[in-house]
Amino acid sequence: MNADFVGIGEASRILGVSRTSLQKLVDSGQIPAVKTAGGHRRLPRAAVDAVNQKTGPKALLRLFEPNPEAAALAAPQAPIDAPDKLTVLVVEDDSATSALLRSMFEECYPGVTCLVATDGLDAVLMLERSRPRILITDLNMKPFDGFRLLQLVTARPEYRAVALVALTGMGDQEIDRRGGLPPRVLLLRKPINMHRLRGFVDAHVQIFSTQASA
Amino acid sequence: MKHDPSSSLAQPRLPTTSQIDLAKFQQSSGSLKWLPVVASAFLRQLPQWREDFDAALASQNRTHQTDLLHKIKGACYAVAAYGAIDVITKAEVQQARGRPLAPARLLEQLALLEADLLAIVVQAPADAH
Repeated sequence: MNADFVGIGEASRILGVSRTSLQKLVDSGQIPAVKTAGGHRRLPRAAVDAVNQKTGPKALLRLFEPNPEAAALAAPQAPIDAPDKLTVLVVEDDSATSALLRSMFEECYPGVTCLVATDGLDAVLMLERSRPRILITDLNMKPFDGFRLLQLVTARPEYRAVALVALTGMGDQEIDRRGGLPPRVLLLRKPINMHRLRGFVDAHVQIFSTQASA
Repeated sequence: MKHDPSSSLAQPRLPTTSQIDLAKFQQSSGSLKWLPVVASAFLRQLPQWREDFDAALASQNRTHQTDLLHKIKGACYAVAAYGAIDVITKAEVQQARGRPLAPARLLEQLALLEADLLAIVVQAPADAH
Protein backbone atom coordinates (compact mmCIF):
# COMPACT_ATOMS: atom_id res chain seq x y z
CA MET A 1 0.00 0.00 0.00
CA ASN A 2 1.20 3.52 -0.77
CA ALA A 3 2.69 5.01 2.43
CA ASP A 4 0.81 8.27 1.82
CA PHE A 5 -2.49 6.45 2.25
CA VAL A 6 -3.94 4.21 4.93
CA GLY A 7 -6.88 1.80 4.94
CA ILE A 8 -9.99 2.19 7.05
CA GLY A 9 -8.73 -0.35 9.58
CA GLU A 10 -5.37 1.38 10.06
CA ALA A 11 -7.01 4.82 10.28
CA SER A 12 -9.48 3.48 12.83
CA ARG A 13 -6.55 2.27 14.98
CA ILE A 14 -4.72 5.60 14.64
CA LEU A 15 -7.76 7.64 15.65
CA GLY A 16 -9.07 5.18 18.23
CA VAL A 17 -12.56 5.16 16.74
CA SER A 18 -14.55 2.26 15.36
CA ARG A 19 -14.63 1.50 11.65
CA THR A 20 -18.31 2.48 11.58
CA SER A 21 -17.60 5.89 13.14
CA LEU A 22 -14.74 6.41 10.73
CA GLN A 23 -16.94 5.43 7.81
CA LYS A 24 -19.41 8.13 8.92
CA LEU A 25 -16.62 10.72 8.95
CA VAL A 26 -15.63 9.71 5.42
CA ASP A 27 -19.23 9.61 4.17
CA SER A 28 -19.91 13.08 5.58
CA GLY A 29 -16.77 14.44 3.93
CA GLN A 30 -14.97 15.15 7.22
CA ILE A 31 -12.05 13.05 6.02
CA PRO A 32 -11.26 12.73 2.32
CA ALA A 33 -10.92 9.28 0.81
CA VAL A 34 -10.18 7.69 -2.52
CA LYS A 35 -11.35 4.36 -3.87
CA THR A 36 -8.97 1.74 -5.22
CA ALA A 37 -9.73 -0.23 -8.37
CA GLY A 38 -10.94 -3.02 -6.09
CA GLY A 39 -13.41 -0.68 -4.39
CA HIS A 40 -11.49 -0.27 -1.10
CA ARG A 41 -11.28 3.12 0.51
CA ARG A 42 -7.91 4.69 1.18
CA LEU A 43 -7.47 7.78 3.36
CA PRO A 44 -4.61 10.27 2.95
CA ARG A 45 -2.31 9.76 5.94
CA ALA A 46 -1.89 13.54 6.27
CA ALA A 47 -5.66 13.98 6.67
CA VAL A 48 -5.83 11.22 9.28
CA ASP A 49 -2.89 12.75 11.17
CA ALA A 50 -4.54 16.18 11.05
CA VAL A 51 -7.73 14.78 12.60
CA ASN A 52 -5.67 12.90 15.17
CA GLN A 53 -3.88 16.13 16.14
CA LYS A 54 -7.08 17.89 17.04
CA THR A 55 -8.94 14.90 18.43
CA GLY A 56 -10.31 15.53 21.88
CA PRO A 57 -13.77 15.13 23.36
CA LYS A 58 -15.13 18.36 21.89
CA ALA A 59 -13.31 17.98 18.60
CA LEU A 60 -14.78 14.50 18.19
CA LEU A 61 -18.22 15.80 18.99
CA ARG A 62 -17.89 18.51 16.39
CA LEU A 63 -16.76 15.95 13.83
CA PHE A 64 -19.68 13.65 14.50
CA GLU A 65 -22.23 16.45 14.69
CA PRO A 66 -21.15 19.00 12.09
CA ASN A 67 -24.63 20.49 11.91
CA PRO A 68 -25.21 22.62 15.04
CA GLU A 69 -28.99 22.56 14.61
CA ALA A 70 -29.04 18.78 14.41
CA ALA A 71 -26.76 18.64 17.43
CA ALA A 72 -29.08 20.92 19.38
CA LEU A 73 -32.06 18.76 18.51
CA ALA A 74 -30.23 15.59 19.48
CA ALA A 75 -29.06 17.00 22.80
CA PRO A 76 -31.22 16.65 25.89
CA GLN A 77 -33.24 19.74 26.79
CA ALA A 78 -31.47 20.02 30.13
CA PRO A 79 -28.32 18.42 31.50
CA ILE A 80 -29.12 14.97 32.90
CA ASP A 81 -27.01 15.77 35.92
CA ALA A 82 -29.40 18.45 37.12
CA PRO A 83 -28.74 19.88 40.60
CA ASP A 84 -30.97 17.30 42.30
CA LYS A 85 -29.65 14.32 40.37
CA LEU A 86 -26.22 12.73 40.45
CA THR A 87 -25.11 10.86 37.33
CA VAL A 88 -22.66 7.98 37.18
CA LEU A 89 -21.19 6.92 33.84
CA VAL A 90 -20.07 3.29 33.61
CA VAL A 91 -17.79 2.49 30.66
CA GLU A 92 -17.56 -1.24 30.15
CA ASP A 93 -17.60 -3.45 27.06
CA ASP A 94 -18.56 -6.55 29.02
CA SER A 95 -22.30 -6.49 29.49
CA ALA A 96 -22.21 -8.92 32.45
CA THR A 97 -20.06 -6.49 34.44
CA SER A 98 -22.08 -3.46 33.38
CA ALA A 99 -25.31 -5.31 34.30
CA LEU A 100 -23.92 -5.95 37.77
CA LEU A 101 -22.97 -2.31 38.24
CA ARG A 102 -26.25 -1.04 36.85
CA SER A 103 -28.21 -3.38 39.15
CA MET A 104 -26.24 -2.18 42.13
CA PHE A 105 -26.85 1.48 41.32
CA GLU A 106 -30.57 0.99 40.61
CA GLU A 107 -31.06 -0.95 43.83
CA CYS A 108 -28.79 0.90 46.24
CA TYR A 109 -28.91 4.45 44.85
CA PRO A 110 -32.42 5.10 43.50
CA GLY A 111 -31.67 8.84 43.27
CA VAL A 112 -28.64 8.30 41.05
CA THR A 113 -28.79 8.06 37.26
CA CYS A 114 -26.55 5.29 35.95
CA LEU A 115 -25.55 5.47 32.27
CA VAL A 116 -23.54 2.84 30.43
CA ALA A 117 -21.11 3.38 27.55
CA THR A 118 -19.48 0.46 25.78
CA ASP A 119 -16.14 2.00 24.89
CA GLY A 120 -14.09 5.14 25.35
CA LEU A 121 -15.48 6.98 22.36
CA ASP A 122 -19.05 6.27 23.37
CA ALA A 123 -18.07 7.58 26.82
CA VAL A 124 -16.58 10.80 25.43
CA LEU A 125 -19.84 11.58 23.67
CA MET A 126 -21.86 10.80 26.80
CA LEU A 127 -19.53 12.84 29.03
CA GLU A 128 -20.31 15.95 27.05
CA ARG A 129 -24.04 15.43 27.31
CA SER A 130 -24.58 13.98 30.76
CA ARG A 131 -21.83 15.63 32.83
CA PRO A 132 -21.46 12.76 35.31
CA ARG A 133 -20.00 13.25 38.79
CA ILE A 134 -18.49 9.75 38.79
CA LEU A 135 -16.85 7.93 35.88
CA ILE A 136 -16.22 4.20 36.31
CA THR A 137 -14.27 2.71 33.43
CA ASP A 138 -12.87 -0.62 32.39
CA LEU A 139 -9.32 -0.33 31.06
CA ASN A 140 -9.15 -2.98 28.37
CA MET A 141 -11.59 -1.97 25.63
CA LYS A 142 -11.32 -1.66 21.87
CA PRO A 143 -10.77 0.43 19.92
CA PHE A 144 -10.78 3.30 22.42
CA ASP A 145 -9.56 2.00 25.79
CA GLY A 146 -9.90 3.21 29.36
CA PHE A 147 -6.30 4.46 29.52
CA ARG A 148 -6.95 6.91 26.71
CA LEU A 149 -10.30 7.92 28.17
CA LEU A 150 -8.77 8.67 31.57
CA GLN A 151 -5.96 10.67 29.96
CA LEU A 152 -8.51 12.74 28.05
CA VAL A 153 -10.68 13.34 31.09
CA THR A 154 -7.84 14.28 33.43
CA ALA A 155 -6.37 16.63 30.82
CA ARG A 156 -9.58 18.67 30.56
CA PRO A 157 -10.29 21.34 33.19
CA GLU A 158 -14.06 21.01 32.69
CA TYR A 159 -13.88 17.42 33.98
CA ARG A 160 -11.72 18.18 37.02
CA ALA A 161 -14.60 17.53 39.40
CA VAL A 162 -15.38 14.10 37.97
CA ALA A 163 -14.44 11.30 40.38
CA LEU A 164 -12.60 8.54 38.52
CA VAL A 165 -12.58 4.78 39.05
CA ALA A 166 -10.71 2.23 36.89
CA LEU A 167 -11.80 -1.42 36.80
CA THR A 168 -9.43 -4.08 35.56
CA GLY A 169 -8.23 -7.64 35.71
CA MET A 170 -4.76 -6.51 34.57
CA GLY A 171 -1.68 -6.80 36.73
CA ASP A 172 0.48 -3.82 37.73
CA GLN A 173 3.13 -4.61 35.11
CA GLU A 174 0.59 -4.61 32.29
CA ILE A 175 -0.91 -1.33 33.54
CA ASP A 176 2.55 0.24 33.62
CA ARG A 177 3.37 -1.16 30.18
CA ARG A 178 0.29 0.54 28.80
CA GLY A 179 1.20 3.91 30.24
CA GLY A 180 -0.10 3.74 33.82
CA LEU A 181 -2.98 5.62 35.36
CA PRO A 182 -3.34 9.32 36.15
CA PRO A 183 -2.79 10.14 39.85
CA ARG A 184 -6.35 10.69 41.07
CA VAL A 185 -7.88 7.44 39.82
CA LEU A 186 -9.19 4.80 42.22
CA LEU A 187 -8.10 1.40 40.88
CA LEU A 188 -10.38 -1.56 41.61
CA ARG A 189 -9.42 -5.06 40.51
CA LYS A 190 -11.87 -7.58 39.16
CA PRO A 191 -13.73 -9.21 40.79
CA ILE A 192 -15.03 -5.82 41.79
CA ASN A 193 -15.12 -5.28 45.52
CA MET A 194 -18.57 -3.74 45.57
CA HIS A 195 -18.26 -2.72 49.23
CA ARG A 196 -15.22 -0.62 48.40
CA LEU A 197 -16.92 0.86 45.36
CA ARG A 198 -20.00 1.69 47.42
CA GLY A 199 -17.84 3.38 50.05
CA PHE A 200 -16.39 5.58 47.31
CA VAL A 201 -19.83 6.31 45.83
CA ASP A 202 -21.31 6.99 49.29
CA ALA A 203 -18.67 9.64 49.90
CA HIS A 204 -19.41 11.36 46.60
CA VAL A 205 -23.17 11.14 47.08
CA GLN A 206 -22.65 12.82 50.47
CA ILE A 207 -20.55 15.60 48.93
CA PHE A 208 -23.10 16.05 46.15
CA SER A 209 -26.01 16.22 48.59
CA THR A 210 -24.19 18.80 50.71
CA GLN A 211 -23.42 20.92 47.66
CA ALA A 212 -26.98 20.62 46.34
CA SER A 213 -28.52 21.70 49.62
CA ALA A 214 -26.07 24.60 50.14
CA MET B 1 -30.26 8.72 48.12
CA LYS B 2 -28.53 5.58 49.40
CA HIS B 3 -30.35 2.33 50.06
CA ASP B 4 -29.03 -0.96 51.39
CA PRO B 5 -30.64 -3.83 49.43
CA SER B 6 -29.62 -6.48 51.92
CA SER B 7 -31.72 -4.76 54.58
CA SER B 8 -35.07 -5.05 52.83
CA LEU B 9 -34.85 -7.40 49.85
CA ALA B 10 -35.16 -11.13 50.18
CA GLN B 11 -32.38 -13.13 48.56
CA PRO B 12 -33.72 -15.29 45.70
CA ARG B 13 -33.78 -19.07 45.80
CA LEU B 14 -31.22 -20.22 43.26
CA PRO B 15 -30.62 -23.69 41.81
CA THR B 16 -27.64 -25.74 42.91
CA THR B 17 -24.60 -24.88 40.87
CA SER B 18 -21.14 -26.37 40.67
CA GLN B 19 -19.82 -23.63 38.40
CA ILE B 20 -20.71 -20.49 40.29
CA ASP B 21 -19.49 -19.63 43.74
CA LEU B 22 -22.69 -18.15 45.14
CA ALA B 23 -21.07 -17.26 48.45
CA LYS B 24 -18.33 -15.28 46.70
CA PHE B 25 -20.86 -13.58 44.43
CA GLN B 26 -22.88 -12.47 47.43
CA GLN B 27 -19.78 -11.44 49.34
CA SER B 28 -18.30 -9.33 46.55
CA SER B 29 -21.46 -7.88 45.01
CA GLY B 30 -23.63 -7.61 48.11
CA SER B 31 -26.74 -9.39 46.81
CA LEU B 32 -27.60 -12.65 45.05
CA LYS B 33 -30.66 -10.88 43.69
CA TRP B 34 -28.53 -9.44 40.88
CA LEU B 35 -27.14 -12.78 39.68
CA PRO B 36 -29.96 -13.61 37.18
CA VAL B 37 -29.51 -10.24 35.45
CA VAL B 38 -25.75 -10.66 35.27
CA ALA B 39 -26.12 -14.30 34.15
CA SER B 40 -28.49 -13.24 31.40
CA ALA B 41 -26.01 -10.63 30.14
CA PHE B 42 -23.22 -13.22 30.22
CA LEU B 43 -25.27 -15.71 28.19
CA ARG B 44 -26.07 -13.10 25.53
CA GLN B 45 -22.33 -12.66 24.88
CA LEU B 46 -21.46 -16.35 24.80
CA PRO B 47 -22.34 -17.14 21.14
CA GLN B 48 -20.20 -14.24 19.92
CA TRP B 49 -17.29 -15.32 22.10
CA ARG B 50 -17.49 -18.83 20.66
CA GLU B 51 -17.43 -17.45 17.14
CA ASP B 52 -14.53 -15.14 17.94
CA PHE B 53 -12.70 -17.99 19.61
CA ASP B 54 -13.04 -20.22 16.55
CA ALA B 55 -11.81 -17.40 14.33
CA ALA B 56 -8.86 -16.62 16.62
CA LEU B 57 -7.85 -20.28 16.71
CA ALA B 58 -8.25 -20.73 12.96
CA SER B 59 -6.12 -17.66 12.23
CA GLN B 60 -3.66 -18.48 15.05
CA ASN B 61 -3.94 -14.84 16.04
CA ARG B 62 -2.30 -14.83 19.49
CA THR B 63 -3.21 -11.22 20.27
CA HIS B 64 -6.84 -11.90 19.53
CA GLN B 65 -6.72 -15.08 21.62
CA THR B 66 -5.15 -13.23 24.54
CA ASP B 67 -7.71 -10.40 24.36
CA LEU B 68 -10.56 -12.87 24.20
CA LEU B 69 -9.32 -14.87 27.19
CA HIS B 70 -9.00 -11.63 29.15
CA LYS B 71 -12.50 -10.52 28.17
CA ILE B 72 -14.14 -13.85 29.05
CA LYS B 73 -12.27 -13.96 32.34
CA GLY B 74 -13.58 -10.50 33.23
CA ALA B 75 -17.14 -11.64 32.57
CA CYS B 76 -16.54 -14.82 34.58
CA TYR B 77 -15.57 -12.63 37.54
CA ALA B 78 -18.91 -10.85 37.21
CA VAL B 79 -20.79 -14.16 37.68
CA ALA B 80 -18.25 -15.60 40.16
CA ALA B 81 -17.45 -18.53 37.86
CA TYR B 82 -14.20 -19.44 39.57
CA GLY B 83 -13.85 -22.85 37.87
CA ALA B 84 -13.79 -21.16 34.48
CA ILE B 85 -11.48 -18.42 35.79
CA ASP B 86 -9.04 -21.11 36.90
CA VAL B 87 -9.08 -22.77 33.47
CA ILE B 88 -8.61 -19.42 31.70
CA THR B 89 -5.76 -18.42 34.01
CA LYS B 90 -3.97 -21.68 33.22
CA ALA B 91 -4.53 -21.12 29.49
CA GLU B 92 -3.07 -17.60 29.84
CA VAL B 93 0.02 -19.00 31.56
CA GLN B 94 0.49 -21.55 28.76
CA GLN B 95 0.11 -18.80 26.19
CA ALA B 96 2.63 -16.60 27.98
CA ARG B 97 5.09 -19.51 27.75
CA GLY B 98 4.61 -19.52 24.00
CA ARG B 99 2.58 -22.73 23.85
CA PRO B 100 -0.37 -22.96 21.48
CA LEU B 101 -3.79 -22.54 23.02
CA ALA B 102 -5.60 -25.84 23.67
CA PRO B 103 -9.26 -24.81 23.77
CA ALA B 104 -11.00 -28.12 24.60
CA ARG B 105 -10.92 -27.70 28.38
CA LEU B 106 -12.06 -24.09 28.22
CA LEU B 107 -14.93 -24.81 25.84
CA GLU B 108 -16.05 -27.70 28.05
CA GLN B 109 -15.94 -25.43 31.10
CA LEU B 110 -17.95 -22.74 29.29
CA ALA B 111 -20.58 -25.33 28.33
CA LEU B 112 -20.95 -26.37 32.00
CA LEU B 113 -21.14 -22.74 33.03
CA GLU B 114 -23.72 -22.01 30.35
CA ALA B 115 -25.96 -24.79 31.67
CA ASP B 116 -25.77 -23.49 35.24
CA LEU B 117 -26.38 -19.89 34.22
CA LEU B 118 -29.36 -20.92 32.10
CA ALA B 119 -30.85 -22.71 35.09
CA ILE B 120 -30.41 -19.58 37.20
CA VAL B 121 -32.02 -17.36 34.57
CA VAL B 122 -34.91 -19.77 33.99
CA GLN B 123 -35.71 -20.10 37.69
CA ALA B 124 -35.48 -16.39 38.42
CA PRO B 125 -38.68 -14.33 38.63
CA ALA B 126 -39.60 -12.79 35.26
CA ASP B 127 -38.73 -9.25 36.35
CA ALA B 128 -35.22 -10.26 37.44
CA HIS B 129 -33.69 -10.44 33.95
